[in-house]
Amino acid sequence: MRRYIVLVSILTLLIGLSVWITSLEWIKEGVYKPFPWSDVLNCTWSHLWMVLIAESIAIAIGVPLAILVTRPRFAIRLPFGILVTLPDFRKLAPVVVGGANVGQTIPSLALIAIMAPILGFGLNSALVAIVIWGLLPIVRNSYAAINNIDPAIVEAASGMGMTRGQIARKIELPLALPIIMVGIRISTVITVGTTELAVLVGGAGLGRITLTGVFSMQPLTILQGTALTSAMAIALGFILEYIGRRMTARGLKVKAQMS
Amino acid sequence: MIRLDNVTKVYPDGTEAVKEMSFEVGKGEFCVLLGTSGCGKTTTMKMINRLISITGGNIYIDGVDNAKIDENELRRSIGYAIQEIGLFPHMTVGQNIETVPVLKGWPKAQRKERAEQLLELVGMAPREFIGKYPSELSGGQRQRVGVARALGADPPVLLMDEPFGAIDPITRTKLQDEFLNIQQEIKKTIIFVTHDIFEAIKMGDKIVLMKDGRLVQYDTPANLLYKPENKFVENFFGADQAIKKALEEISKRRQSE
Repeated sequence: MRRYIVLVSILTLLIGLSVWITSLEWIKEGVYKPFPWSDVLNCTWSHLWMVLIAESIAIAIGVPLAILVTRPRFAIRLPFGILVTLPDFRKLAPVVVGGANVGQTIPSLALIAIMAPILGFGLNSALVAIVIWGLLPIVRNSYAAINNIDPAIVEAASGMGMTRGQIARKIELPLALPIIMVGIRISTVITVGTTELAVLVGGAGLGRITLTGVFSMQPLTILQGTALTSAMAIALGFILEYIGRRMTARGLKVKAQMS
Repeated sequence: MIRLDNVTKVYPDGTEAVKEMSFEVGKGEFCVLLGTSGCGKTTTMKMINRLISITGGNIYIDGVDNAKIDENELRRSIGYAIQEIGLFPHMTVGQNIETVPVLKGWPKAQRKERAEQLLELVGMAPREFIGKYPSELSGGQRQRVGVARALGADPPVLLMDEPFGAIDPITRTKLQDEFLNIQQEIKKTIIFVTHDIFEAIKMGDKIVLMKDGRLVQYDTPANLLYKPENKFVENFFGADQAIKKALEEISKRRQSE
């Protein structure tokens, strides 16, 4: 309960701050003006959309990729009875996870900036950079989640006659899910931050307000944008934490109550 | 019931884990695979349910070569119990026990009845424990659930890999006694892996003593103690007089029962 109160207060404070700045009449008389309501709402909206799209793409790529590099040689049955044997993808794990780690060391600003000469200015190049940065925590966490499952549990399942698919569905996935969700949460919070920079290569989002404030040295304008960005990061992080807890199997939550 | 015929396991890197093992376990017999760590006893056991592939020889279960049975079908027909960590933490006690019955497609009512029956058998009140999670149980209780789960679909054969290994000595003794009582009732053919000589003498109808992947002597506990075939067997059980005394005590107690 106390966590909810703290959360709501912080969100109210941050959003209130931005609303207050937007409604300040006296600044509007000066040379620099705060962004009007319509711009603030537009930027918030586009920021949220970019985060959601980029994050969905990052999840769609990152989670399957991480799962793939934990699988030994296996066969999948395609429609029409075609059987395809896939090679042992575990050999690629160091490349993928190592790549994710190295990728994270590139500053997000540099990554976004470099997209302009490669892909040109525009929303798409911003999205590509944001997705790449958001991928990394997802890949790392999902890989660790599956790889750290106690091998004795998997062996017990296999020894009782579960097929590879059954082990993946009934054992590995439910055990890995909570940690995969943590990766998605971290990635989302980071993505809200990197999306701030999207405006540099022609994207949209709250970065338009914040960076305008930075370049024109208007502290209030900077706050107008950053307060909303922070509020968005906190709110999304909280929502995802809640979803993650709901997706955690009950048996993993109950604490031992032994004497 | 289970016959190993010249069973050999050579790993791709050339290590010979098991060499030309041949022995037969009769129906309803309790056979212990005994030896020091790395002697190949677990490897031998895992070749029976094909968790490890065989590289030479054959294993027959009820006269059928186990290589000719679908591996998942084979495993569903053989109970498998390992140390307590093998329980599925995200499933309740009931769901854990019902694992193989679910795989075999038993109807729900029958599965539930079986789970309750098995909890009763291992001395846990079904109503209290069936909905609990492994993290809510003590080590001894988890091990009991592990045994109940291995018996899930009433398999004729049970493979047990140091099932009481991670348990404190007092609880272990209790679990061993309980399990011997259960075995009186259910009369399964059991292959039991351990490195604990006391446990082997206490539990086994017969003991396969292994060394470096080879069978050294396959005999009853009493014969291993009193009629060792060679120096290794003699030293294994009797190097320390105190241990030998204690072992003889256990062996006598068993015979008098």
